[in-house]
Amino acid sequence: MTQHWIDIRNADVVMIIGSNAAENHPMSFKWVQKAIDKGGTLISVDPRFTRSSSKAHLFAHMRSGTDIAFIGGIINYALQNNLYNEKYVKECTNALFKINTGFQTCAEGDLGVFSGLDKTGGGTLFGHDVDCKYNKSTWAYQGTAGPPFVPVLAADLNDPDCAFQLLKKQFAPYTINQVCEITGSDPVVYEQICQAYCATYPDDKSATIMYAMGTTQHTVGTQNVRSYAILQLLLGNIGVAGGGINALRGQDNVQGSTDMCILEHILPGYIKQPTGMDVDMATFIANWADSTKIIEPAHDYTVNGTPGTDPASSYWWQHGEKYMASLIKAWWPTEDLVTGYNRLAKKVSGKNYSMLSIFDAMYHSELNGFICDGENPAVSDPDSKHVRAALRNLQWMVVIDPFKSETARFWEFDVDGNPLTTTQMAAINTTVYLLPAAVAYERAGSRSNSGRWAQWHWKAAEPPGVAKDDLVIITELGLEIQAQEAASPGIYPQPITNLNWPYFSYNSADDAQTRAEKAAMEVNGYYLNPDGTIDTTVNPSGLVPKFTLLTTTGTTCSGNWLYCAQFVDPSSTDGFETANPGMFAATVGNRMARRHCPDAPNGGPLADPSYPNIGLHSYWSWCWPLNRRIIYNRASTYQSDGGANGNAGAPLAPSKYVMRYNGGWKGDVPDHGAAPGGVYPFIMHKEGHAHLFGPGRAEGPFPSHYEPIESVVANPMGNYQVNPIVHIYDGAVFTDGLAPTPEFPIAATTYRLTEHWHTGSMTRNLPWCNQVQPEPFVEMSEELAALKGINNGDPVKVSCARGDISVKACVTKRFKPFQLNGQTVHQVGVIWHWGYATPNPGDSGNVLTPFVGDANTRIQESKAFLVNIEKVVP
Amino acid sequence: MAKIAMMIDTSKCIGCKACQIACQQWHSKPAEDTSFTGSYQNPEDLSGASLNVVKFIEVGNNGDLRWLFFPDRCRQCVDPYCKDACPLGAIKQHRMGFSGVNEARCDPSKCQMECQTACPFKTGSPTPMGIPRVGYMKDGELQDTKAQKCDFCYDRIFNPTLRGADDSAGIPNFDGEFVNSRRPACELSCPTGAIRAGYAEQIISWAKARIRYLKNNGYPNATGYPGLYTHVVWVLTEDRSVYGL
Ligand code: SF4
Ligand code: SF4
Ligand code: SF4
Repeated sequence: MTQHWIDIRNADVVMIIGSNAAENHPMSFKWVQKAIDKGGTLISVDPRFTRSSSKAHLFAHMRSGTDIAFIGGIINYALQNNLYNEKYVKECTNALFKINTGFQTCAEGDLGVFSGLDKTGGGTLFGHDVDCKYNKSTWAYQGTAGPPFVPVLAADLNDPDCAFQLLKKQFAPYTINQVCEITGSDPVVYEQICQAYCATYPDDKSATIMYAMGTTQHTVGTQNVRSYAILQLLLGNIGVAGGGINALRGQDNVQGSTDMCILEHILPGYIKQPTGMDVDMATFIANWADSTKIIEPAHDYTVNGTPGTDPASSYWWQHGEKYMASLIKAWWPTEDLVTGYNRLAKKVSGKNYSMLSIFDAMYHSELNGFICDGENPAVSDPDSKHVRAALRNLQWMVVIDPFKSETARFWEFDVDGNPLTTTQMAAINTTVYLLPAAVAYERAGSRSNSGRWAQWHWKAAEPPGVAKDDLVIITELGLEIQAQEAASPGIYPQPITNLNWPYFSYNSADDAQTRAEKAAMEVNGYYLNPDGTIDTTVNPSGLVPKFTLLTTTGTTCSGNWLYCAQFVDPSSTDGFETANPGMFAATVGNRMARRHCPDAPNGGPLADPSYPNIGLHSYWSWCWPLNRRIIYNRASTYQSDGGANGNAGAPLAPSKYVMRYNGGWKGDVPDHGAAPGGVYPFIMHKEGHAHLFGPGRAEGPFPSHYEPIESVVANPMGNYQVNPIVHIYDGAVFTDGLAPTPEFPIAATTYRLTEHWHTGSMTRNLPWCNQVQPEPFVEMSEELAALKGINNGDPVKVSCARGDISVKACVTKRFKPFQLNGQTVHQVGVIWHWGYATPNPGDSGNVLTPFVGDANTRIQESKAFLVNIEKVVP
Repeated sequence: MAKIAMMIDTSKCIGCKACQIACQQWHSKPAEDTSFTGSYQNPEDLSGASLNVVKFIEVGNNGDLRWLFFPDRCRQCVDPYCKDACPLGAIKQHRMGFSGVNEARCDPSKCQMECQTACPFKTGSPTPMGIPRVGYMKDGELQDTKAQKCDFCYDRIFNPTLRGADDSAGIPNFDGEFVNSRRPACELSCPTGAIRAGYAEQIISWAKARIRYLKNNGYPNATGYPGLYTHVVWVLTEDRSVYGL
């Protein structure tokens, strides 16, 4: 989230798309309801009418996988009707930047792709281009050859070369009628949604987008999110109260695990993961700078601390080397930085390490061992039968989980979930180790919610039996691995033997809190002496008070720069904290443990009586970065003189202002403390401006509609059916939806229920949860049910090219067949919470989902694929 | 003594069933046997194990489609018919207005379930029954219970071991935004604030104001349910007949 949960209440319009927030994030509806109570409008966009839709003022049916068309149409509506925030667009985005004249949108030249598509090395799937690449040389700003590079800005938004005009060109074909023929939405409702949403373009109005996996789990998932970002930028809805684009995370610490590098392409704090090509730190930093450059030729504002041409561009990643050096020192404090860098494992350049690729490698026996900590891929990963088969090729697997999940018990069942005989089990050669884990309430530590708030929590109960806190399991494992490596060194033992692992052997139940605090302090970071010990000359605890004090020279360490300031020495607390000594609960300096309930901005209550209390709650827990509750918040103020509305630094929306400048910033922690106009608001980009034109993505600087890999609809937007950059794994199985008589003609999607959680390994073991939602089902329209002779509650078989599941039918008016330009498309929805290892067994909807991922991130395409349905006659 | 009441605002209810499970949990009731029968509603009706069941109602079609949620439970009559009918005197009414079953006195083997017959609010289908319920199915077997119905969580709202806001008055302050564990389990667990308990006068005036607001803001048929004679009132977004009431 660019915002946080409470901020949803400040929105004038809330659009829930790619999410069913009432179902999967019921607590979020506390704030959605508050927005509605204040007169706000709720828009729900979904393939079916959901619990969220039940509270919406406007609901649009949208066929799965057509988000870009849906949002593209709203973007076009805003552009055609001048419903965009012109001042914001000019000052805060790259709208005025002139683009290379060789650049072509999808609406010209080879329709459906941008200039530079390179099909060499590509392939086809059912005759459609896939596995292609782009030569991005035309996806570039015009400017003087650098370095330093000076971009050319258009005088106004009418310049045909500026990013704004290209955006307009790209989305011009997305007319209301064209959009509705793709999405299947009712054009009347769709236009009402366009009007209601775009009405938030004035300075004092804001709209927020709540999205989740319904947005991201597509082969165009990244571009779906891009389309939201572009729309929000046009309307001036980023950085302001009640705005933003808000990823609702699927569990309470996904944000934290992402920050801490659960993804394959980053290290903690979103530092680029080095590859073998990055032979030393200097090369790594140079290549990193190069990869974050947004365009060719070299665009060099401020890299490696060398100031560039534009002093107002603070380009925060210029500090990347400080964060990388501090990370290396957190892991190997006794080593110098050159050696420390060498200790770091490197990826093979060009190789993909995503979940899909891991299971692909496992399937092909390229992986021997697997530690599965709090995951249940036998239920959650696409083409689950393939995943279950892959697990059989492992030599060993360690499962760390409170319950024996489907993954832990895969060897007791065949891939369809039928029990195996003892002889059959004996034929599986994977040794499975089960380490029983405590659940959240049985351990202490921090969890980061979707709003980036790191909240400390305390242990409420002891784990049962021999179950242990994850942190204890991991630290014990580390100690044992270090001991064994020291006793019988391998080829290169130092990365392990010299790793900073300041934990002692587990000896008491109270150890968990101490251990969690120790880890949290290491993540925060310390000042270091040259020998790697903690330097206590600056303050007695040696904790670094904020990330701006981290260095490139090895005098500081920090396990994650973004979390620096979460744990501070009592001498570094701020004035309000010092004045309220009860702030820190029992643990002085642990800002995540702050529980100051009243709403207060940074620095405590403002003397300013006009301050609107927008729910920042700055002294409840702590959030990264630097406790900034709304990021890019400089964009909520006038960049230059606001005329009658005030000077630069005055809030755009006085009634819900995030902060204001009056000799200093008051309100939220400013996103860069410079005076108004001193720094562009979008500080993570080299040019300081948010990207309407965003060439960092694999398949284009703008989103363009492509159909899902499996679809019965021919893409009307140009010559390309599917995302041409998508990677097709060898052996992955798909069906051709455009075949004359498709074998699997029904569009399907997957989702979750309020009553169960994720793969269900916890909730399916809770009788109350099983009681309220006892069996898996497939939802379908009355029209489809009539065609197939299915009655509500009947057992049915849902099949696809990869397998089938047997579930009950839920026949409902909440699903409707889509009418697309004379073509009727039926859609169904399957639930994926179930598996074979608990009471009330059933099978996961992921048995049906295709083994293919987004072109940028490889997130699975679980939300749009093809199936067939038949009634099971007993 | 001031009476208390509870308002259930269905315009804010998202059908999450948190109140349903919280009620079951606080009353230490086990899960009962269920199966998927074509609706999100489960179990299908109140029982000896389920004192509060969220009902799911789909009405209209296409642009007019509505999905209504109705947390169904005892209405807490001002003059409980069930109490008057019970030959064993097992239903007790508190001086603040709500009533509950005194399980020590209740013995369904010694009566004809007069409480159930007398209760004017019949729920469930195909044979609607009065609200106090006995028994539930578990592992295919009928389990015996005493009569069960909502008791307004009397053992929460007066429970000194739970954190209250206004301990000196002996009753909780229901109205604040602050942490207050002494609310009924269903109210405390509701994410959207659809359930509010408090002094009857306050609750009734909120309910009336809310109905007026809804009538003018997209719900012309908004109404109250059941009427003036209960301590639990529902704010409905549609006419009560749409809910089958
Ligand atoms: S609604 Fe029925 S069970 Fe509840 S108090 Fe009234 S008569 Fe008794
Ligand atoms: S007040 Fe208590 S007993 Fe009554 S429905 Fe709510 S949780 Fe159940
Ligand atoms: S907890 Fe609240 S929102 Fe959820 S079903 Fe009950 S009344 Fe409705």
